[in-house]
Amino acid sequence: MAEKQQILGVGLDVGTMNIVSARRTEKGVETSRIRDAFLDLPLDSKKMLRLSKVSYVERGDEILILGDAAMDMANVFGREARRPLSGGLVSSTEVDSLEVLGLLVRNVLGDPKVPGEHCYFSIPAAPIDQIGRDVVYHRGVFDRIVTECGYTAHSGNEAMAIIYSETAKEGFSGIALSFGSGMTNVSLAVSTIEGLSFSVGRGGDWIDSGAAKSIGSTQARICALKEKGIDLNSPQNREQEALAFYYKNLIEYVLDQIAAQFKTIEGKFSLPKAIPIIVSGGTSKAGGFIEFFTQVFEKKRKKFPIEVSEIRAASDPLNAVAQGLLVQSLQEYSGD
Amino acid sequence: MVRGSRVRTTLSAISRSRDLETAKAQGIVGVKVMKAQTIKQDNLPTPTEHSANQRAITRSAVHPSTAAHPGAQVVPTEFDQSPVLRALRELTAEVRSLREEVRRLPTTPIIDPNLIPLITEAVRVAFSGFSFTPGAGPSVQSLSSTEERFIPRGIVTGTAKLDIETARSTTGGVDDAEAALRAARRSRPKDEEGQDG
Repeated sequence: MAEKQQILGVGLDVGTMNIVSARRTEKGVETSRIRDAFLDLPLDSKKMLRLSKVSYVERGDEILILGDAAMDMANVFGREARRPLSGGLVSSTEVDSLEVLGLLVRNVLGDPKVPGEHCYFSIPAAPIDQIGRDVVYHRGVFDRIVTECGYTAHSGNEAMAIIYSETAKEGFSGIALSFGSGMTNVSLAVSTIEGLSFSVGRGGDWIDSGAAKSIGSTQARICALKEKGIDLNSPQNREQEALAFYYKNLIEYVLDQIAAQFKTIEGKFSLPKAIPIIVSGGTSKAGGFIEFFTQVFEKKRKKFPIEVSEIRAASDPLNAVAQGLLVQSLQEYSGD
Repeated sequence: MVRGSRVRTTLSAISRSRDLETAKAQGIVGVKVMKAQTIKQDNLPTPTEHSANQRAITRSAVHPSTAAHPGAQVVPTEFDQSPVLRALRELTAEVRSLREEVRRLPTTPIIDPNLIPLITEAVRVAFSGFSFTPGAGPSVQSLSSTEERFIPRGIVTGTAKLDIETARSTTGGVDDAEAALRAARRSRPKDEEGQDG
């Protein structure tokens, strides 16, 4: 009997807002997503949760609701859902976060198809504007979690993963920007070679927080407004104007940082031709983001040290990182 | 009842009268209730220096007889209270002097502030291998390696079926990228292999 061919390898994107895995199956690329959040409740809430058919985990004298349900139930209980990651890295203040992350990752990854199946997981680059925050511990934690799930763990840079999934036609050359919730990651690559990678500690949360403070609103309200849908190019009210203002500020900040960081490698790294800018990440899902980004970039183009051929959005901004990591994991089985 | 003359009767008797309400309405009778008389006492001892301790030791405890009956003679009893009162006064004075002494002490910590983080870190490191449970003694965990304590083993312990959003897309992008990446790596000079991220 012919044995069914298994396609091995999995990519895992660990973000502040979502955890996403990507697998190549016979029917296509399958992505699984779960919200990177949890909510702790007293044991006596169990009965109510059973009635509402919400999945939960019992731990000691409390119960934990994990994933998307945590966000929904947080609203019901008038609480704020807790995040295991803070600013893109494992939160040092969330003592329960490791156990929760273990459960979330295990659910998203599932069991390995074969023992020790290769899994590439994302890690951000060290933030250049937050001295003292490094990714060493973060990488160690996820290396252990993925290994304990039964996989052979490999770490891969978050923005470089976008280069792998989105710039094949340019020979894996470009600038990848991953606008996440906790931070923004940047990578510059030429012909698969990573020339520059860094992150800044500003992302969607920073926009929400800034906009909320400036108009006396709450971060949760601004976030809900943003997710409901907003056109950055034609804000309709004061709240949307505040959001557009902070979006503009973030884009300018990221472009300035790219220019500054590129200066440090100029001369050591040659760019033979113009390269594209690929924009990805949940924060870039706001309406009109690419047009907005292009407008801001055009004002800076003259002083920008890199020749840019085009600015485009990733084909699937929420899954681009996981798919890029999947590409890398598939390489482990390519036989070359 | 005689109209026009004052009638002396008790309040309780009036209250029992069935015609009281009618009589009151007609203005035949009036009810006068005596108010309690307040007698001001001038010979009470003047309050001493205000102290939080007065909450604990009341004036009547210190001067029980004079407080209860000002100006009255102290009735001698079989139990002589004066040694107890003297002891109480001495204790009060001692507490006051101790308070003064504490107040005079320097407010800055005796330990050099620069040493506090070092001490905190030393204590943290020393106790990092212990877990504390109420009612139980400290239990020593396995100390096989530093890394094991830094990032704990057994993070993935529980099993729970969570709601996961799953989507399926075409394989085109990933397949093309995978093939292109394989080709690029194959064509790349060997000395560049190590630089790939």
